[in-house]
Amino acid sequence: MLSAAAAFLTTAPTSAQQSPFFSTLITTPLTIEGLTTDGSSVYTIGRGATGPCPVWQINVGSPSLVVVGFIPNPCSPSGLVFNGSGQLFTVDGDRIYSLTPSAASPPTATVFASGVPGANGIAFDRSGNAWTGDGTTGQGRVWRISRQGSEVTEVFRVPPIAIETTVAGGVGRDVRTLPPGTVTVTPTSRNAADTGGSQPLVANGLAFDRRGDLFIADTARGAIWRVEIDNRGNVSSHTGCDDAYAPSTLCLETIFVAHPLLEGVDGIVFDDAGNLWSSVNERNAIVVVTPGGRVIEVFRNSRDRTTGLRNEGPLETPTSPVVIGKTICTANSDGNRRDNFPNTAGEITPAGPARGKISCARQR
Amino acid sequence: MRQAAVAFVLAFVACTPLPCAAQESARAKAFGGYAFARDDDRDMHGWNGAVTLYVRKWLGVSADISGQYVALGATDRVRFAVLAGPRVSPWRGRFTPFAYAVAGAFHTRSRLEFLSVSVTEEETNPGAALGGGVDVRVSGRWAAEVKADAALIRSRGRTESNPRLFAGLALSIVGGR
Repeated sequence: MLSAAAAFLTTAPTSAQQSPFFSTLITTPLTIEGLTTDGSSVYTIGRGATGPCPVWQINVGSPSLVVVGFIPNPCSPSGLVFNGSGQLFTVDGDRIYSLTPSAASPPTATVFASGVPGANGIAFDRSGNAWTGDGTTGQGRVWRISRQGSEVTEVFRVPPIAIETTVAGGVGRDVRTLPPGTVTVTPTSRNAADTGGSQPLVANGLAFDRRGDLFIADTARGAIWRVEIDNRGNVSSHTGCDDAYAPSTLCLETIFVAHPLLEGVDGIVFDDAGNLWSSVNERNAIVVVTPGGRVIEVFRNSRDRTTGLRNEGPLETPTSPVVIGKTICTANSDGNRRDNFPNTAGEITPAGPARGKISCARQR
Repeated sequence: MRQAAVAFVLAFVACTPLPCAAQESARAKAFGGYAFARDDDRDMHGWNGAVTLYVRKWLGVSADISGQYVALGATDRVRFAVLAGPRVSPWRGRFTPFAYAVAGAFHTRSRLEFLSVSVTEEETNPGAALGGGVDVRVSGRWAAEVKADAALIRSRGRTESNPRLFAGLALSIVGGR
């Protein structure tokens, strides 16, 4: 399979001349966000369909969109992952769906659990429990869902960027992304000109390492949290250091790394060596964090000399990475912010026909 | 960890010196051979060398070095171990069983290469290995040796237990005890 993937990746059309390394595996007629693998194929889900959202299987050696399931309409799923039994799980709104992919008879997913508002990333621990975070609701809640899906427990919180207090508007910070936000640049100041682009997302992608620790992508801070989880699925890391937050809120010492390269970090995944690969959506970049905590930018779109922008591709808001041997792939959702603004440039555009894509690179 | 301790105790008891046991006269022994290690569900292969100096007929002191390698996607990893400690044998003859407990350091080096990025990360951790094996004399001073142990490595606040297996040839260096 890997040799087949290599053959494809070296013969596929390169989507951007400035980068010979990441190339397009396939484009999709709908936007996509989540991406996962069963070891030989990758899977993603179309969003914004008029009917049910299709679950696609794409063989990396011979890429085509094969429908292997559906998510009931209305749907806008994000993270997806397999459990140990070959069932595919995805999060959508406040629900988690599951299905067993089948190309012969694509099933419609059923609700596995609900009560997880804003759910975005999803991962399974060693005991088979699912975990998800609250995404753009921005409260930092992380839930554990039992193997049967019957118990949904808020286990801890990532500290939100801002908290509600008696002070109108709250206390804390507001991380803003430009564009869509803007600032007024003068020789002496760079103050906000509007309120757009607020980025409150602190519990985005999730992944467990081989030791059983839970890693969480903090999009707003540009950080990765490492949370120690015991065999019963309880948090061993310190919580409750600051009573301004809910008692179950992680202490800041739980941050594994915080780095400007991770600004806008979205999906995360471990490779076999324990390196944590991340799709950094706001920077059109792929960043890897080593087991020792070194943060390295593997790839970022080149800056166009004429426009000064990085929105031509090959990455166009990378959201979710997967690792298959020496191949790294990422889903691209073509968001209309920061490095990918305006998203009318590049290979995929909001008006289509290609609205999402999967990009891959392979170590030669 | 507990399994390794139990295995070592059993091996140690089994190898308690026997007064009526046959003895062999080598005062030192050198070993070299293949090494296999299981590291967190990943198979590593490499080499092992060890020298044992006997201070009693049944008691020796071993110095042991090994290196194992594995390719993990875009990452190449190597782990070296430098360990030393006692080695006991209930008797020394054609078949010589033994148990050992060695301690020292494990050095792991990982090199990730992807696109234009090349990064090497190294760490050295304290550790130990508890195990045993058997020598089977094949010719003169030469013996075939197999041994297995559990390597206990303290890394980032936790202790990992990794099984290791070795097979090779042992040479009795000095005779005439």
